[in-house]
Amino acid sequence: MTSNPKKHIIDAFLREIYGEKSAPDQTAEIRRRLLEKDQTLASDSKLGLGLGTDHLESDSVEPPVPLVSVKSEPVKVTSLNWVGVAAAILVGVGLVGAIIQIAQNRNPLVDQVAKEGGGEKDIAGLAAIEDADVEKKQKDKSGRPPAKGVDRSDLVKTDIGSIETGAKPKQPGRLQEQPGLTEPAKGIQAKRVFPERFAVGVAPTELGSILDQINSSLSENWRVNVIASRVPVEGSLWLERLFDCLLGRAPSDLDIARFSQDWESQEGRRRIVHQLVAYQDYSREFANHWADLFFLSLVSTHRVSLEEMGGSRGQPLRQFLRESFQKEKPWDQMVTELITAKGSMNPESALYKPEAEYIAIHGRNSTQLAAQFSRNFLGAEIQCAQCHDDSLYSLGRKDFFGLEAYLTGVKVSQKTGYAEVTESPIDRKNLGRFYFDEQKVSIYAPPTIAGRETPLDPADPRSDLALAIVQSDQFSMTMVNWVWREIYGYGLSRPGRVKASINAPHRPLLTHLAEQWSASQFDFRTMIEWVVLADAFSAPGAPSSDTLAKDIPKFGGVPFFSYSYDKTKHDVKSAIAKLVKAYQAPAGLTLVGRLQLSPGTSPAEEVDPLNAVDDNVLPIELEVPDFAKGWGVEAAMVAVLDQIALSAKLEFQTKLEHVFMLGLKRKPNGMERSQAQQLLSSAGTVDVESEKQVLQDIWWAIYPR
Amino acid sequence: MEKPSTSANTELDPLLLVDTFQTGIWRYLRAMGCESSLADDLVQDTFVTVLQKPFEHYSDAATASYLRKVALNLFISFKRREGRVVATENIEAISDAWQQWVKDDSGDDLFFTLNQCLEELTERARWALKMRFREKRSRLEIAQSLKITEHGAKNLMQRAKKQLRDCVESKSQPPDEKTTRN
Repeated sequence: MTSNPKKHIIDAFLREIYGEKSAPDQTAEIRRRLLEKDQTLASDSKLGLGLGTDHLESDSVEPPVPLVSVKSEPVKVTSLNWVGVAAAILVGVGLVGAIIQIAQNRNPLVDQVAKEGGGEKDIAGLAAIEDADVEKKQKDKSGRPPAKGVDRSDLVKTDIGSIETGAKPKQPGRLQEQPGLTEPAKGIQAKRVFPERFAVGVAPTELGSILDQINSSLSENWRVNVIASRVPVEGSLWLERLFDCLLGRAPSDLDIARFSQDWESQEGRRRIVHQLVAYQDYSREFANHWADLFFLSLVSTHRVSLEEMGGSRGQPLRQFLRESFQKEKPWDQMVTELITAKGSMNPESALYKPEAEYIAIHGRNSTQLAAQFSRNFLGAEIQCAQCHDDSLYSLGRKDFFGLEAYLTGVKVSQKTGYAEVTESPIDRKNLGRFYFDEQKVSIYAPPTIAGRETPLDPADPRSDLALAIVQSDQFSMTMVNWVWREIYGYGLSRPGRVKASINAPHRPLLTHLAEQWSASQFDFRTMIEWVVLADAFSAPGAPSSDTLAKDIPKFGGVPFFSYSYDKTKHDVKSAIAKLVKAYQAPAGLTLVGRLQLSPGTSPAEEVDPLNAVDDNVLPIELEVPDFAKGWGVEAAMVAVLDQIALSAKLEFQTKLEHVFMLGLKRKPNGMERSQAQQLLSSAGTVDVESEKQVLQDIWWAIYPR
Repeated sequence: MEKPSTSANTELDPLLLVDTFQTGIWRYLRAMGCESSLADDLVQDTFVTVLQKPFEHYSDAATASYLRKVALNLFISFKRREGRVVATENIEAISDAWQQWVKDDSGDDLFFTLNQCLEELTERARWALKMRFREKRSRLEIAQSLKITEHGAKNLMQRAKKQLRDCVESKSQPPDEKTTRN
């Protein structure tokens, strides 16, 4: 009897999922074997010719192998083909060529060379013809000549370049490292020079060395500020904290049993962290949790309506991020894909591109998009500089318009209910932007990213933008700071002003971590391990009396991480995690924001009543004021509950669905619906207030404690 | 024979071909019961064999199918050299199932679908599968760990795999149906 064939497929994939072995990248080995074979290939092999000048040359690993091993000679009549000559006399010169070719078993490309050049040509000649063909193809596709500048396919779209140079193979779409990238000398093309890549030449160091750096930097700050170090928390609490930070949940009994042997020793803790971020059963959970957090950071600070979401409601972007995190995509690659994406949000469309939703959400106009890019990837709140130079952040209007110059061709349109991101080439004479200063004088802002002038390819500006962003120091610092903030509640620097001098005590540490992360190829899991294995992560849960006056970031001071700010952070993070889960929700329910910690602003500014409540949008964006941070999950959830219950636009049964989704991640069944309706009827008058009272009663009945 | 499109024929890039299809071939061989180290070797052999001769790329699906065929032949040859019997009807059935399930060239879609489906299993079922596939624990050991009988452990894993199959089936709806639904 034959077993179910699909069982074999499931088993094979399960073995891979559970970490037995994944499909290896064997391109380099295949290439090496092909090179060996190629030296003996017949000259009529299409492969040999295809690889000869394009793909198999290598500067570092092996010498270039000329696949057409002899120089192409002009057609000559030799003693071997007298028959051909005789035939030529009879039927003409064209036929002679064919007969000679057959007689000599010639390579068709060699003949092409002879035809094009009419004389002797070598491999370089072949390459020149191929270059011309590539150029012709590009021209044919776009209807215009290829843009001047570097060949983008070398930078963004393929990893073949890495194979050519013998470098470590990279994933498709991965940016190549380009220290001081310059345009290869090609005719009259303008020279394009990108600023030097951040941390070029920095070698990645071992985990222990990085942890020493973090610990010594923090303890030095404690010493300077006379903050006594204290006994770290015990293992079980540490594990709880770790699960909360890395997976967004509490450890189960099974987890506790599994890790209880390891949690007391430093070495054991390293093993636990490694398992949570790298082992398949946890790593999927880890990836999804952090993808959701990053999703929220990408869509936050912007109240997204259903219309702006274009019918896709954030799902494509979230799915893209989850898959990117699960695939352990390096962050420079993931961010490049977000910045350069274009396509439709319609999953049925051939142009479907889930990552383009990030642009679709924020790309209503180029200034808004510039502000969002700067906020998310450069850690600089640059929008103020649209109207005035911002001396506090050392940002000028030139910075703003220099960044916006890359985005003027981006267009977000609506097609059949779904947003579509397109881009037209920049056709203005000056690639930068003009603006008026206070004296109404027109000022030219050249293309500028992270304070440095950078090249702009008018045919593909966003690829240049992405390259300059991910190669900048600000990108690496911003991302490290974001992760630190998600884990510790406060960043090493203030979000939105990562390079400014605020939080100066931590700047050397932030710079060091950013350099190391860049040197580690922007591997997210590596960075997470550094951050959670630092001693500060085991810090006690409450401040001591002497610490309280010196380490109180909630009142705007510099955080020294001498105790865990978890009453603030973990409660809100848990609330966020619950809300994100609720996001999967009843049809038509959309998450529009996130809970935000906003230290430094007054409660009056932070409490945002969320004015418009759309029928289909659950407005979860809550600014948690300082005085409310101790309220914890319950307070956050009640606030959300109020948003739902007090909405005048939602029907009672719809509100009930929201409440169930928040609490139980499912819709109410028929009996529950009818019981809720009875509760409402028994309340007497049916108005928004009584609905709120009933929903609150239900909430506390179903709330998972 | 249908004439291949010009673009498909002229833009063959051998290393891109390798990059695109190697994962799918490797996974296909693994589904056929090939050991992982042997699958590594056979993937290399497949591409070296195919690319030594003039090769025309008609479409991704056709190329993937052709590469799988070559890989399978190499696998069968290897088994025969070892003196092992190869049950061809089973191989054909697995090939058909592969064709039906793995819509893309690499198997990544199925990989992620399966990951999603795993999330829908109970924690006990996931734990059992993990012990089976990662830790290579015996059925008895799994049963002891979960405090159930050996038969219970067998049933648990069978049900889990059945649930996974059903889940994958439901999620791998053919694109034709999706488009006609509109």
